[in-house]
Parts: sequence; structure tokens; C-alpha cells
Amino acid sequence: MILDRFEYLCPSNIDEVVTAITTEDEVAIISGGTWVVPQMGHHVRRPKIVVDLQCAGLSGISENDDTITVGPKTTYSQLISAAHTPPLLRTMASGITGGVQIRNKGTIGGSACYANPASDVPGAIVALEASMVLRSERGQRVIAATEFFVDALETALEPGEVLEAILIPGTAAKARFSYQKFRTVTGSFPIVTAACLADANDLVTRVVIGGAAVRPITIELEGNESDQEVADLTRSRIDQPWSDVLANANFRRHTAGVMAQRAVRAVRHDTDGGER
Amino acid sequence: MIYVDDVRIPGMHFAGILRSPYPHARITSVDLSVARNAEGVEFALSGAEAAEHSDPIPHFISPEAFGGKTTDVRCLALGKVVYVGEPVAAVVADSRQNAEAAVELIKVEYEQLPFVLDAEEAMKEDAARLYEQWDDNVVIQIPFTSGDPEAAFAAADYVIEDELRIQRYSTQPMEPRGYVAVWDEHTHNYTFYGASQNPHPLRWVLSRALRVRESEVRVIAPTVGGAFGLKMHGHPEESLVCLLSRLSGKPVKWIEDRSETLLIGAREQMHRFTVGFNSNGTISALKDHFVANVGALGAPPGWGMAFLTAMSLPTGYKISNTDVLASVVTTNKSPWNAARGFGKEASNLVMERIIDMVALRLDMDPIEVRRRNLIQSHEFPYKTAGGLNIDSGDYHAALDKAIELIGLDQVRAEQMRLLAQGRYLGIGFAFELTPESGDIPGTLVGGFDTSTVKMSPSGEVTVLTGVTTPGGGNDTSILQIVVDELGVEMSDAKIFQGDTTLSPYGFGNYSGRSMVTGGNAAYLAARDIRVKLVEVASRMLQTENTDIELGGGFARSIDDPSRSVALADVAYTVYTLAFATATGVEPPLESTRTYQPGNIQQLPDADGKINIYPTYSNAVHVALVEVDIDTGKIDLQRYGVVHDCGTVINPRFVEGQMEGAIAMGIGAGLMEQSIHDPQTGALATDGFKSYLMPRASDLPMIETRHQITPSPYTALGLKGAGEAGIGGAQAALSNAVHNALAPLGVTIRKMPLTPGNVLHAIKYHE
Repeated sequence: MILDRFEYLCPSNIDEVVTAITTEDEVAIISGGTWVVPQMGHHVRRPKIVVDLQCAGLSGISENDDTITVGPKTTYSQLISAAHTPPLLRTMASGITGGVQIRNKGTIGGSACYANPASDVPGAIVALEASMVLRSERGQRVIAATEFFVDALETALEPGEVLEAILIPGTAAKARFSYQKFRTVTGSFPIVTAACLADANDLVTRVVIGGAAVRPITIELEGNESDQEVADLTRSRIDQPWSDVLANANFRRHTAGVMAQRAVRAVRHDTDGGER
Repeated sequence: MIYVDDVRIPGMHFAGILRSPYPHARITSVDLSVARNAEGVEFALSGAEAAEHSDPIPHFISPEAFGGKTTDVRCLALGKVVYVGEPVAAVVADSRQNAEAAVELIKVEYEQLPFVLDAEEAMKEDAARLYEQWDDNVVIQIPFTSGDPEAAFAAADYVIEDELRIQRYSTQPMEPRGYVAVWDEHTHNYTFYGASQNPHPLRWVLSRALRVRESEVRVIAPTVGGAFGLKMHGHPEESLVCLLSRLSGKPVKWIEDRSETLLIGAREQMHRFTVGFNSNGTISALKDHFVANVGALGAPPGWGMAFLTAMSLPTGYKISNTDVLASVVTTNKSPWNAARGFGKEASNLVMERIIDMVALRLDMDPIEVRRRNLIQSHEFPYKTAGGLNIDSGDYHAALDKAIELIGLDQVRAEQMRLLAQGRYLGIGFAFELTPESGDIPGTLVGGFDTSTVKMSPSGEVTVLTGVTTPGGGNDTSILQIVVDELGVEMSDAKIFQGDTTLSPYGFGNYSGRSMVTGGNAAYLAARDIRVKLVEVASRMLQTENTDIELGGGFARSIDDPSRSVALADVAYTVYTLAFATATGVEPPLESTRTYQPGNIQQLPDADGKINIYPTYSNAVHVALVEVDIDTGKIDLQRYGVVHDCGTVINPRFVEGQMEGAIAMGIGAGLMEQSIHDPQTGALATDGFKSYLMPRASDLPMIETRHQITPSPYTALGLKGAGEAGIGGAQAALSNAVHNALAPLGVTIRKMPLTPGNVLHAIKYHE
């Protein structure tokens, strides 16, 4: 049960959002609320101000100038159904645990900003070479998704700053890809994700691992590695491993190698989960 | 349907409970002054104050009565805490929100003490001691021996020694616990609404803990949303909520949070076993010395599960030389409560793993090893090494049905075909014996129960029974028995359960007992009324009473079915023409009968053994899995079961119970585990994203077949149903996974079969 009284704000545009979060008091931004609300119920998060993005017009997906713009308030269900969703994000969204309630509430931006290592979004958007548009009273800045994820549960967002948009280059969005997710059972958070996209020359030169480390890990490939080399290289790159009660660091490291292998193989051979 | 959280009493307040953050600490001070003055707070209570007004909670099953040690368990900790989550202080406020907020304002100072979480660590001499008055942390050691195991091991062709660690896990009913207590100062009476499995025994417990007469407590169990043993009593919150009501003068409600439900543990056992057998597959000797980690000793019946694990070995196998020793050990984890299977699931898991290990060593079909060692159908009743007297069964026929169900030849061919492609398919069988409807001497775990059947002048039927329903459908099944016997329509019959003022004295639900005891008692009571109805109907129809049949709301002449009379008219006649047509038929149409099944032996036999179970349901399980050897992940593809609970009253409910128990066993087999942080002693798996339970998409369709071998010891031939499934599912899964991984020579000694545990065994062979 939520114990503390708090001020609830539902701003109607991004400028009002920025105004609302520019305060000395502890603020919680709710996009879908699937993290913040349960945390408040368990008394582990006790904001004085809750800013709800639902009226701020930050949801939806649009495409122009070969860039796809994803609003942070876009739910997993919207990702599944929208016309311009990059196929990798559509695949990712279809596999979100928690059923239809979570897919209808949870958002891509909320998940990115929470930056839980054991989640799908961080690895997926890093794989898509996304850029993050951040807004504050000081204006707008754009950083690469790789720079956005700083540590477990920690992003580059500064106090008073909010994620305004996620930009995905059209080339990445349209590339052949494989998204491999390992979870122990249906109810489990992702343990490891591997996202692999073919490059402009249709070669496999990188695979991005989520869940195994505190932040997504990008493994650059020459393109001619053997399956075993892909696995070994992946495991060697996990320098800050993630561990929780569902799976320890050793298991995540091992499985990262397996999932990377499977993702790379699928894109190379255009089978077993290789999609376009 | 009214669940306990739907109960609203005028002026009702809410309890907030402060729980210990430490696994072991002395309480040096409790300051309630700030909390008392917080918004909406009516009252606050410390452990020391509670002890002035209440006594320790009587143990559901006192270990002392069996030669073990005991300790006082109170509604609030007194002096020290022995687990994270132990209630320390409580408040009463006008809303749940204010109660929870006030709890944070209670200031408690603790002096932390060394703690121990592992049972084998706790058995060491220098281990932290939970209870200072004890000379170690062992609650009780219970031996069960038979024959001459030492000689049998020496004579055996083969001896295998191995171990199996069963994880701590829990039952998680959809509805958590919850209580509402109302103290009435004028009548000096408690009314207690609780999600409880055993209202009458709970009334006795509350009266003892609360220093009132048993007649001054009324316990009402509203509709219960699942129980599985977790809602058997002895929980500190039961008497606490009552005390809070009395001392605050307010009706008080407390509804458990899921993180609190998850604190209640069960099942953690470390088995080290030795099995001796001959080259033809006959097992001659079994030694199993196991250690059960029951956490801190609580008042609920949890610890007794370890007792029954030991007693139930070697399940349905004819092993005449056994050396079983259960060591029940306390640690600084939260206490156990009963959990569906009540320890018997562990006996089945261990035995079934042993059978497959024997088969592997002899390179024999594990089905054949089962056939050679299982009790044969002509050998019943069969007295086991643990003293149990197994009623009836046809285990070999059940095995054959399971083989047919799964299509063994085809799946084995598919297994070989896939293996050639580097894929690891496995088939696992498990036999499961589930002793049911138990009676533990000297406790309020009774083996009998009582039902009342009444028919009113309008022919409506009311059944009152001492057994309660956790939501499994025994209410409907008991009504079916009565309706069949009386020939009335289901719509003209109602059943009431779970109110100590309305119902006859009864023990509630546990141990698959509801139909065996309450169902048979209702059958006897209905039969009494039937005799009266038949007699009066025969007079009304001017025929012999042997010429009457009842059905569809009518009494009818068998010879001339066109002649009939409505049962309502018969009932009306009994009440209104008691000195004429119904002369000599004793009114009213009411009967209260108790059913005591045969085959319970409370007094020890020459070997000092008792038989606490009258009936023995059994099952054969079969699982088909594929193991991903790169990740250790198990894909459960098919699951079949042949189940025998004797006479079946309602196949749908029996199947529902079976499927539910198997789902629970699959959860136990593959994912569910309660993990404590070794640094803090706190439960790390405190929600459903860390304590993983199976979802529909984790489960295949469960293919069920019935086999019926009626029990000769119960009136309708019923055996208990509802508990069987947990151990069978764990064992079938584990055997299937081992079968899949046989080409790699893998033994997995740690449950559950999570990808991490399976992969570890594959990679490191340990």
C-alpha cells in the first residue's frame, strides 16, 4: 500500500513535464507505472511528486528522413501494432513477460530509464544504434543509447531531465536481425538477450548482449568468427557481470555466449529466428 | 461468496505489524510513543505488553509429545527474535495506510546475535544457538528401522550411495492469509473470521493463547481462496489480531501482504542415502539419514512434515531392511507451515530417484525395477517398514496404463532419432504413494469427522459438516453424496462449513480427508434419513418399504413407477402426521453421524509403530522433456498421470486436484525456491518476480487417467485425493531429465531443476 501523500501531476506537453520535474523534491516520472507504482506500494520508492506522462503526447512511432522516432510513452502493445515499428522492437515487445496487462501499460521509454539489466529494452535499442533525446530546462541534448546506459539502474539522465524521444536510424531498423532471449520460465525476467543485426553489406559485424552485465555489451565481430569464437569473445567481454536470485553471474556469462552464438548463426544463415 | 477481506464490521480498524529486520537479535527496547500519537492510531502493542495478556500459542503438533524439544511461540516476540519477519510490535489504526505508516514510527533497539541458516551448519557444536535452553539446534531425531539393514547391505550385489538436496519452497494460495477479530466486551466473546483450514481446533488454540474459555471464541472461516496447508493455524497473527481487538476495543482486520505469505517456508531437506540391491533388480536395503531445515520452530504443524517423510519411506516398495533417520533442525529462517504433500512428497521424490539410479547401475529399464519391487495387488493390506498399513491398489496395472498413455515405444524411438541429431529427449516415470486422511495421536489432527444432514418440512436439505473447503470442491462433492442418497435435486440442498457455532465439531481440511471423513459421515447421516423417508413413503404409497426408490425429488414404487409421491410431501408428513402416517418414525428428519475410517492404529504395535493413515491413494506419473544442454533449460513437452484414489465421487474435482498438485509439483521441480540472503538472513525471493511459479504457458496439457481400487477400510471405498501430485511430478521430471542426459552421465543432486542447477551438473559433473 502506498503510504505517503504525494503531489500528482499530469502535464499536457513536454515543456510542462520539464517544468514539473525541475524541483528540489524527489520526483518519480511515471510512463506506464509498472515499476514505480509497485515500488511505491512496497515503500521502497517514496517520491514527493509523481509526474505522469500519459497526457504529454509522448507516445507513438513516426518515420521521416530515414529516421524512426519512438515516443518514450509508447507501450509494448503499441510497438507490436504500429506500422513503423522496427521489426526487432516488434519481436522484442511480443516476448515481454507479464502478459497483456504489462504490454498495455509498460513502455519502451520507462524501461530504458529504469535501466534494469534484466530487461529487454536496453539491449534492443543499443543494438538498433538508437539515439536518446533528453530534455531539460537547459534545452535538448542527444546521446547514443550506448552512452545512455551507465550502470545497473543508472542512466545518463540528470536531475530535471526527461527522455523525450528515441531515434532509430532507418538502416538499422530495416536490417536483417535475430533477437534471442533466454529466460528460465515464462514468469522470469530476461536472463540474457542477444540482438544481432546484419550491417549495410549484409554481414554480421556486431551482436549486443543484454542481461549478462550491468549495461548492454556490444561485441564487434570481423564477420568470419566460428560459433565457438563468437561465444568465447562474448563471454570475455562481460567485465561487469550482473547477478540476481534468478541467475548468477557465471550462468549469465555462459548463456550470453550461447545466445550470441545462436543470434549470429541465425542472421548468417537466415534461419532459426533470423527475421527481417 | 465472502472472502475474509470482504468482511467489514462497523468501526473496523486495521492492524499494522512491525517485523524483525534481523535473523537473530536480542530486543533491548521498544518505543511505541511516537507511533501511538500518529495519525489515526488507536493503539499500539509491544511483545512484553502482549505477554502480560496472552500465553504462548499451543503447538499444532508438539515436538515434545514425540520426545523432542519445544519452545514458547508467542504472538509478538518476547526478549529476542529468531528470524527476519518475526512480529515484534503492532499497531491498530483507522486505515491500513495509517497502520502501515505508524509501524514505521515504532523504534526498536536490537543487539544482533550470530545466526545460522544452513541446517547442517546448525548441527555443529559451535553453531549459533536459537534457543538458549536447548543444548543444540535439533528439535527431534526420529528413527524408523526394520529388518537388519547392515547385514542386507553386506549381502547386496550392489550398493549405491548418493545425496539429494531438496530446496525450501512454499505454497502460495491466490488469497493470502487474513483475519478479522471482534471482541465483544459485553458478552466476553471473540468472533474471529479467518482464512482458516481448521476452525474448531483453532478455537481451542485461541482460547488457550488468549486466556478465555473455548466457548468464548467463535471461529468463522468464510470462503477460502486456496490453502494448501498454509492456512493451518499456529501463526502469530491469529492470536495477535484477537488481542489487538480486545485491548483496543475495536474490531481489527489484518490482511497479509504477499511478501509475508512468502516468508512461510516448507520442505527443505538434505537426504543422504544408501541403497543395496541385487543384480536382478531387487532392492534389499535402504538407509536414508536426512536433515530437515524447519527454520525457527513455529506453532503451526510444519515440522511434522519431516516426521512423515521418514514414516512414509520406502513408499510402495517392498524393502524389508531400512534405516531411516529424520533430524529436524532449527535455523534462523522463518518457520514452516504445512504444505500440500505434508512431507510425503519428499519420500516419493527420493524413492523414485533411487529406483532410477538402481536401473541405471544395472542397465535395466527403470519400469522393470519398479515392477520387481512394488507391492503386488494380491499382497494388500501391506504393512510397510514405517508401520503404515497400505489398504489396496494395483500399482503394476497403473504402470501399464501410464506406459500406454505416453506411448512408450514411440517416444523412445523418437528419443533415439533426436539423439542422433544432438538433441536430448528424456522420459521419466514415477510411482507415488500418498498416505491420506491422517490422525496424529494426542493432537487435534483427528482421523474422524462429523456431518449433520437435515431435511425440512418442505423437503429442503441442509448439510453441516466439520470438514471445511479450501476451494477444492469438497462442499459440492459432499452434497452429491447426500443428494444421491436422498433422491433430492442438487438445487434443494445446501451445505454449511467452517463456523464453530453452526457446524458439528470437526477438524477441517488437511491430508485429503474431507471426503473420507466428512463425506462418509454425511453418507451415514443421509442414510438414516433415507430409511425414514422410505418407510413413510411406503405407507403413503401403500406398498412395502423394499418397493421404494428415491430420485428426482420423488419416492416411487419400483414395481409400478407410475405411483409416486414428492419427497417434499413425505417430509411434510413426517413432521405433521407424526402420530398417524409417520407413527414410529422418529422425527425430525435430522441425523448427525461421525465417520471413523478403519485402519487407524493409535496404539504402538510390537515394533513400536503406529499407523496414522487409513487410506493410500497412489499414482504413476510420466513426463517427457527435452533438455537444452547448452543452457540447461528444460522443455516439458508432455505429462501424463494415472491416479487411484479409490471410489471417485466427482471426477472433475479429482482431476482438478490432480492437475493442480501436478502444476505445483512442476513448479517445485523446475523453478520454485525460497532463497535467503546469506549476509542478512532476509528472504531474497519476496515477490513473484523472484519466487517464480509456473504459468499456464510453462505447463503442457496434463493427460489424466483414473484407476479405481476402492479402499476396504472406508464406507464408500474412498481414499484421499488432493495431496498426490507434488512428489510424483518432481520425481517424474527429475527422472526424465536424467534420462535425457544419460548419454552425458549426469547426476543432478540439487533441486529445483533450474537451468543453473542443470547446467552446473552437465558442465562439472557434481
